[in-house]
Amino acid sequence: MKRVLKKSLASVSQDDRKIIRRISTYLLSHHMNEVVYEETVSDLIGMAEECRARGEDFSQAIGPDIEGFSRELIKNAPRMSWPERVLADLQWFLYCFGMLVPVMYIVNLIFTGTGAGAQLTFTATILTFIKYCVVCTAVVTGIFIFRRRGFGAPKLTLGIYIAVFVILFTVTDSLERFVPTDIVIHLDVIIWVVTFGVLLLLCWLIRRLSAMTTAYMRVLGQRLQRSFHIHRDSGDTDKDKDNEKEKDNEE
Amino acid sequence: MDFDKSQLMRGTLEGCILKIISVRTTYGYEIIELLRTSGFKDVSEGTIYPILMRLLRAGMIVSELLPSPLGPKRKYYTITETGLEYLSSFYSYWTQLSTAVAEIFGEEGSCNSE
Repeated sequence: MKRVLKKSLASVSQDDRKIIRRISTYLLSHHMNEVVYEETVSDLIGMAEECRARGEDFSQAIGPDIEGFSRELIKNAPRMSWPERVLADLQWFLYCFGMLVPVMYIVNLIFTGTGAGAQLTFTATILTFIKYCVVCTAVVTGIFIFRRRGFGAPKLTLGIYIAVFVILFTVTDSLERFVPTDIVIHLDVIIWVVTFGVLLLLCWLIRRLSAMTTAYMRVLGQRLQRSFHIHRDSGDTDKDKDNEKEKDNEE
Repeated sequence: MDFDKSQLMRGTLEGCILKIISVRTTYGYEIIELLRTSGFKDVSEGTIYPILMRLLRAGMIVSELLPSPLGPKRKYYTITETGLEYLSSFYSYWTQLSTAVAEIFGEEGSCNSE
């Protein structure tokens, strides 16, 4: 969500904010196009503010069936494309994984003083990285599933997720038997942070451009169609006038 | 068994909202008030907002954010050429449909079989 939207969302009452958050969670978890989503949330905030100014209840204006209202909103709205969805999940993954080195470095710095920190390098076994990678994947999948759970995620999906989580946990725990623990990786913290920062920025930029293209192409197409329609109509009337003139001349 | 009003309301409301917008450029709450005074008593923002969004995406109306005396900017809606075309075909079909319904139910609107 944009900073401006977050700011205006903070200005509405807590009850109204809860309703808007529930709706926005539904829209996001059902992959509404990002640009359209922001527009919808901004409309809802405006609606809540107007209700308050009129002394009315926003929850009554929306109605008791919030899920039904959200479903209606998503029905004809453009959705995220597959590449956008993949990029959104990848962005979460990069964010989680990118945090590993800076967090561990800071923890190292706090507990061991300046020893490892002075060289700005982080050292860990390959096993730590594999384990962390598994945890990141589980977190990203969990975020997606638990977001949908707000409106009752299918029990089967939830069950599969929990089962996969338990299996992953067991497998990760027994990794030490298969992965040699003597492989150690030395990483430069700054290079790591910059690399993940750039990757995250690229992901966001591509996703945003793709969302904007989807949202605006439809509007642009309609405008073009409309202007073509108007031109065609005016062209027809010009032709009609010419025909009438020709008829008059013949007479 | 209770009659499900929402199914019948959805299509009808779409046409009525378009008609209101075709008269003059207007905003959400004004549309609700006009609908309520016309007899659509259960109408609220939650009912008309998804319809307005659908019309907007279908290119039947366009919106513009303008300042409002109540504080936040308001979205004003104006009908387009496509919307006018849709409205005229909606109304002709509605007339046809209401005549057919009136024919079946009779002048008194009785639903008892004789």
